[in-house]
Amino acid sequence: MNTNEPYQPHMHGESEQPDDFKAMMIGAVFIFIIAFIPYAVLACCLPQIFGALLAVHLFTSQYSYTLTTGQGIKLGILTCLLGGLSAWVASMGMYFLFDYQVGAKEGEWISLTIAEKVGGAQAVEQAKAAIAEQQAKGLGMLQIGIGLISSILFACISGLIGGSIGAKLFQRAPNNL
Amino acid sequence: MLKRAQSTVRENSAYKHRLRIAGIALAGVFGFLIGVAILCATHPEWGLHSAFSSVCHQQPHRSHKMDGVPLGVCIRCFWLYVGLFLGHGRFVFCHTIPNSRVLLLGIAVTLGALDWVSGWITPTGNPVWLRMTTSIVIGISVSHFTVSPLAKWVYQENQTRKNKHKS
Repeated sequence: MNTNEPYQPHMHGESEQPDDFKAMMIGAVFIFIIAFIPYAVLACCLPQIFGALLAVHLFTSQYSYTLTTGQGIKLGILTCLLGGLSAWVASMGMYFLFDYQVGAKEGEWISLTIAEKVGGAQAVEQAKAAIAEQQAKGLGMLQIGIGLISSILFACISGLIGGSIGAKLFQRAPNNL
Repeated sequence: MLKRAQSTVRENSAYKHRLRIAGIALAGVFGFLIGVAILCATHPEWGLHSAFSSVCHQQPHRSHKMDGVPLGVCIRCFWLYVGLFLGHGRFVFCHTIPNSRVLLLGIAVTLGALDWVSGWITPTGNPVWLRMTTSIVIGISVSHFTVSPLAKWVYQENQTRKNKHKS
């Protein structure tokens, strides 16, 4: 099959929409992997936005298909929800099973480095005190609930942004199906 | 002819109305996030800081403070939300979307990236005003992409539903 041709349903033996699950899964896996890379927290919500962009890019290039912005948003949100929530579930599992908090050590290092750079020895002491206080508190049910809700909310926001930008950037054919 | 013109005017006004609604809804979301980020500092006992832990490094020395308590997000994220709030909120009054929005976003992101890199390579870090400015510009540039599709999406869904109902 010529991959540069616009998507035609009969080429794939399908009756309606092409399958976006593969693109969605790859985008979600990208988000999942980045979530466990040390220091990736410095990128804030960029991995999720890039995950959504990746999913839209893969989907549109596979089928030479131009998504409407609405379809882009839907694909982006679903990708971010899949990747973000699975990463959240895995990190919670690691915390409860092995008492290991993902990125905690790297976070401490970043905090102390920035404190030293910006505020000197006094700021380092303050940062150490803040870290010790946070460790003493641990994770309560309230924090877990807030974490879950915020993960869903931020996945939707990142998916909206990534999906809408991706649909505009990766236009493969002049017309939509 | 007159009927068609009237119908176009009606559609335009309906589209602007949808843009306004989408703008208000998204501005509301980002206003809510700004509010929660401020609440993290005013009411630290509520434990809201964890809400932003997955999307922000929350370094106290890179965050605004209220009475010595850092906000829920760093300066860059906070002003990004402010930019998104302003960018979406402006659709209440102004409905134009620039044709060169991709270029604008590219410039904004490049400036933001340069600012981010400069923060790591300069000995004292980048100034706060630069982080604030680049973040607001990125937020406003992104809002050009989100409101219109959302309004169109709602319109398309409504049309599909109506067509199904008719058939």
